[in-house]
Amino acid sequence: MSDRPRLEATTRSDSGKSAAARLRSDGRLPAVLFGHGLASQALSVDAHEFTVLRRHAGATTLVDLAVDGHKPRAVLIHGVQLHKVSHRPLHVDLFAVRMTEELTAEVPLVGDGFAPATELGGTLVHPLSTVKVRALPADLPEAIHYDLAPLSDFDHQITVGDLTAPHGVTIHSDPGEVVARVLAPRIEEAPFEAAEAPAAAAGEAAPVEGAPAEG
Amino acid sequence: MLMPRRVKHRKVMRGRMSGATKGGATVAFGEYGLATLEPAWITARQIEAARRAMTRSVKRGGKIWIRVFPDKPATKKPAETRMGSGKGAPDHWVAVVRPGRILFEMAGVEHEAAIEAMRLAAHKLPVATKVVVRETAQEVTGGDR
Repeated sequence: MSDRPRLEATTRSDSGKSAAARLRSDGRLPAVLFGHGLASQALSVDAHEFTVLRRHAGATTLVDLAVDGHKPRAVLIHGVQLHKVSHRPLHVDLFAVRMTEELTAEVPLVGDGFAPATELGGTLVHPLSTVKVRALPADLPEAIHYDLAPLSDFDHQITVGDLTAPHGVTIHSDPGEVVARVLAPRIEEAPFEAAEAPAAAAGEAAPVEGAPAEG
Repeated sequence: MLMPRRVKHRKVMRGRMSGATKGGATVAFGEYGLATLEPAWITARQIEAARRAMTRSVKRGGKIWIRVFPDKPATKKPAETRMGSGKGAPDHWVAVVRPGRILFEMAGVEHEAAIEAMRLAAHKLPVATKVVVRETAQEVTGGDR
């Protein structure tokens, strides 16, 4: 018995938006199972069970999926469609993995420790929150951690090349991409004040048609 | 205030704002976002007022991103004018937003400071809003009008 989180699913025959809406009103979520060499299969999962599972299972966590009570198989939660306003899940993509076949996945980045440059009034920003990696499903890390200590001033930055990949994992993102850096504090409070003055002098923001663009 | 440098047409039709936002519904740059729950025209003045409220609230700390741009000219007829005689003159600029759209983002501030700054910014806006956080875009506070 594996210690992976488990998810129960049932096959569904109905498709389309009205069938999906019916499922959601019954407390279930439409889902699809697919994988390399596997015909895609329309499923449904319990919405509450899935929400609870998602609190501790990320996009790189292997989950045991049991369809109609059959023998469970390892899957990844490949994608979750969320409602744009309420952010509740609408649809789930489940990717059936082969444990002997490498796959590409987006792994979240987590900065550990403290960036000394923030003491100087700077703002720590993370332009990149995930990184593309290639690994066997069993080797996929839940997150890649990095130390913020090298950010001692505003010129230093941590790039993808500085990350240490766990054993069996290859990072495929551009090594030059910036993962974290500390921005210098803002000097001016309002960058738009300067733009405001000439506009007001010219008689309030009247739109000007671009001559070359017209017609 | 934010406004386009030049436009293809001085006046445009008003359009409709049905449904949820098409894009810009996830926190992409910062850690916290302010999302609208209603469709509206948000004027450049309101965007600037909200930005100033946020900036002043967090003093010099943090970084703020404005995720909407007022690129639509709104027209207005002069006061005490009879109806007709064509469309009014361009008056101000608006950003058209629909429910779910992230209006502002913020990074590099404490959780409480970010929530307070966004609460103050929300008071400058003509829509109900909610604060969302990056990881799971989960709701932090209820609608604050």
